[in-house]
Amino acid sequence: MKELTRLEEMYLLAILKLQENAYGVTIKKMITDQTGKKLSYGALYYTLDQIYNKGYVTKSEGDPTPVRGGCRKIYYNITPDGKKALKAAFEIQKKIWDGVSAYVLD
Amino acid sequence: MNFSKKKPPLIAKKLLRILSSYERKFSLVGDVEEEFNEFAKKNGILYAKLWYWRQVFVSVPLFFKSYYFWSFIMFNNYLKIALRNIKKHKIYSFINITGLATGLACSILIFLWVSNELSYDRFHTNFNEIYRADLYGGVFGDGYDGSQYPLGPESKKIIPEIKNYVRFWEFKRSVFKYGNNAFYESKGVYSDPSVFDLFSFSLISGNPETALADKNSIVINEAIAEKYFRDEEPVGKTLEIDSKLYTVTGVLKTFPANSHIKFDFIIPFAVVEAEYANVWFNRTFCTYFQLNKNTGKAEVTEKINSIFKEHSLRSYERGIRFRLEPLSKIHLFTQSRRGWTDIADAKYVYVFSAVAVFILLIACINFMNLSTARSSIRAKEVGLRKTVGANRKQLIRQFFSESFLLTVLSSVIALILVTAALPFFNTQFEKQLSVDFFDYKIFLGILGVIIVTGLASGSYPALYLSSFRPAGILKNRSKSGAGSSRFRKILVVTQFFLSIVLLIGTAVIYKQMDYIRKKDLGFNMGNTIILPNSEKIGKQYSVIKNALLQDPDVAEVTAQNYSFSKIQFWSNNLEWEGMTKNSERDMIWTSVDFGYFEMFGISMLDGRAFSGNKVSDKKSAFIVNEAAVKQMELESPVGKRFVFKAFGKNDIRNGTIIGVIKDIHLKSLYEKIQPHLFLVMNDFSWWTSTGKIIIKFRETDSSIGENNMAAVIGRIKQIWEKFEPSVPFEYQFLEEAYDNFYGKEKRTGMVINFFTFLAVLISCLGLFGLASFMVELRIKEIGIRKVLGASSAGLVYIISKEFFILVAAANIFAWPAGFYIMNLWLGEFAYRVDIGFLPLLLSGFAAVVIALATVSFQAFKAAGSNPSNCLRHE
Repeated sequence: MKELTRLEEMYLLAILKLQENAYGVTIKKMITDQTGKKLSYGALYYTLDQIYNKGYVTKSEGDPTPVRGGCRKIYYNITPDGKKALKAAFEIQKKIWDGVSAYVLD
Repeated sequence: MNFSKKKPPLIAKKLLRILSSYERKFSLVGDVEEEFNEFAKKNGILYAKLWYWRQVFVSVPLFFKSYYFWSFIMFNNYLKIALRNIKKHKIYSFINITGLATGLACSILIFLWVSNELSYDRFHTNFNEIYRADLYGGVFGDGYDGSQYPLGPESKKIIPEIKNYVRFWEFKRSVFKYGNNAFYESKGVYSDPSVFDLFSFSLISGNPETALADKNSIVINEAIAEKYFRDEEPVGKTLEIDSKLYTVTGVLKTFPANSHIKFDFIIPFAVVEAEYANVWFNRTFCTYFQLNKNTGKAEVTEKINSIFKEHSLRSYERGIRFRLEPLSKIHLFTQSRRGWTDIADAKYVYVFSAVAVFILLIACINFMNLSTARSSIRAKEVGLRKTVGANRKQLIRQFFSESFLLTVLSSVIALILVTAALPFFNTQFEKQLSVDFFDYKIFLGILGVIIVTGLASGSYPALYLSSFRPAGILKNRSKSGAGSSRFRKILVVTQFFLSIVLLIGTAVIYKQMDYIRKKDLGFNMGNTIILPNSEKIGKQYSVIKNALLQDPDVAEVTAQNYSFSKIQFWSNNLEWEGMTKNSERDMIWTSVDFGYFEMFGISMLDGRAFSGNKVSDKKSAFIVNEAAVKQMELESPVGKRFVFKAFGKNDIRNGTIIGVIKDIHLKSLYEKIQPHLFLVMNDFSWWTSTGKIIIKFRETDSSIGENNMAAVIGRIKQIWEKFEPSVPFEYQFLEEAYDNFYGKEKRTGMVINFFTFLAVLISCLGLFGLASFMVELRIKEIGIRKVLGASSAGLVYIISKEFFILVAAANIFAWPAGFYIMNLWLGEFAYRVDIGFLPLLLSGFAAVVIALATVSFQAFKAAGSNPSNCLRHE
């Protein structure tokens, strides 16, 4: 199983945290809030497609609303594969950061 | 919430929609709109709109990335299938690719040539302001690029709109000597210092302002500098030219080959200034004017003509005028064919462009035919794809990718072919074409040709194949509807139409060339060589002549004041008994030695030839041709008085016409025979640079001929070197010199032959493929017929019948078209053949034979096959 890239990790975590409410606008907001990274929609959807292709998330359609000009939403939900990948990433993170605390880096 | 106010910018939204893929289209646009609304609430509508636009722009690159990501995945699949298809049907693919590659190679080659022809002289910065003063009307007919020496300076003085002028005059062929090197150099010109201002010729050493100021200076080009001076700096050194000393004042930077003016060295006009400063009857100089920006040439032309009227009233009254030829038109469209400039004919540009389009068309048609012909094979695949959900657009994309793949492959092969053929092509046509990808025009042009070909040949199969209905196909109903085969038949007819027209062209060109070669020019050119003159030789001419005549193999020796290819010394400075004020006087004149007419077997229609026994002949005998007699309107010209003044005041020839000769073709058959005057050459040493010694060998049996020839020439060489040790010995056969007139036609003929061959080849390839498909389609029918007892011949007949009709139809269209086109081409010749029926018949016949041969090959194969094989598939 391939390792998650940093970017994918961010996206998956955001989707995880948003649970039922993970779609374009909210994912973008969450990532920006958490990491300060400013994303464009093109980049956002490109990466969403990537993680979809890898099977880490599923898509489901939502209802159109007037505030969206009558367009549908696409909700993203994390899959068991995605969860497995995140877990692996977490394990690696723990191992490599083991013994290093933030103070040492000052 | 008032939503009408808070709408995102429409254009930006549309852009977003277009750029997003089908799937995402709505969710993405919706997302952006949602955020837009929030933003608008917070920061107002204006900032929100700006933000929206920004989002669109920032996202664009990634849109492309993702679009191509998906397309890339699908494209890989298409590629795989396409390659698999190519391997499965190797023969068809080979035919397809070969045909297309050949067609592309031809078109690219012609394209390179055409763009080269169109690009002449554009490197001059003053390109749009330069004009050449040409004479036309009267004797000068459609155009002659000669003008008088004083025209330039006089016009500049009087006409304010003229910014500058420059003149050229051919410098005689001379011997250059420096140190131990001595060679003939023949491509030189006289010119004015303004040549560096008007034209963009530059010097790599020397000062352009002063280089041509001094009488005895010379500016040489890099090649000559290399030849004589090697690594030394030429400027300041002394060159000996025909025993006179010149100082090198500049080295010319090698200028682009696409310049109609070509020269190797320049001598300043200062050398001849005194002689011609006020001479208005000599119009052999070439004058170019630079007009002020945005000046119309009409007014300037008028003013120049009034200057002309003032100094050459007689010519003016005869309808001769000047016109200004813009530089942009000279290379391709000029009527003047003097020969010292690099001139081409626009006609050929059109013709070859048409040929290129023809051939490419044939190749594309082939491609289309072959791609659709195998449609029954692909039909199942199409049906399957449609069933599992491919929509028409995707199928179109797939077949387009296939065609594009084949086109790209063909293009690569085509480019390789072109690169390989260019060296040969360049030497034949003295060009320097190259596939220069750095020239954006060429790059775009070639790319354009490839793309258009890909689109054109890919569109029909793509649209046709993707339109199949799955149900029909999977139920195994064969798709050979009447509509599709009719279109295919039209394609075949068109291909053969084009090929037959080209065949007719080839046949007629051959006929005309043959006619020219065999046409009795009126004089005997065989076994004759010509030698150039030189200062020492000229002085000793009579001694040399005697020495040559001593040789047993030399039959006759005579001389002429210039070579046959340069017969264009005109003069109107003459008078005859019975001349009126309105008589046309301009004639070509040639001074010749005794024995001239006898050597060439030219018989006198009236009177007698020049005779060495009559001393008076030297100064007072004249011979004219029939055309001259007609022009002079003389009833019985022999005995009439004649005065020739062109040699100047000190050498007026006053005498009588002693003979009349038949009109003979001393120039190319392009031109009508013009009035011609002959007089006796008094002093061969006058004509050091242009004069020619003509030697005729004794007629021998051809078996001894060749070796003997070499021996005689060897002996002549010895005599030459005895009298002129410092000038290299050169000779040329008169017949060869004549052939050079038609160099262009010969080459055109060669090229057309080549293209015809290719066109026919491509058509046959196409026909071959089509025929094999048709046979395949009818394989069951053939099998059954065989079982029922049909003979092989009978089967071949049935299959070929269809194609025979197609080719016959092509003939019906091609004959009138070919006839019309070739008539146009022949119209250029003053002496031409009639097209007649034979070329048409032969071409048609050839096409039919070739087509039948191609088809029958397939048919025979089918007829010979075992019927049980084809009937087994039921």
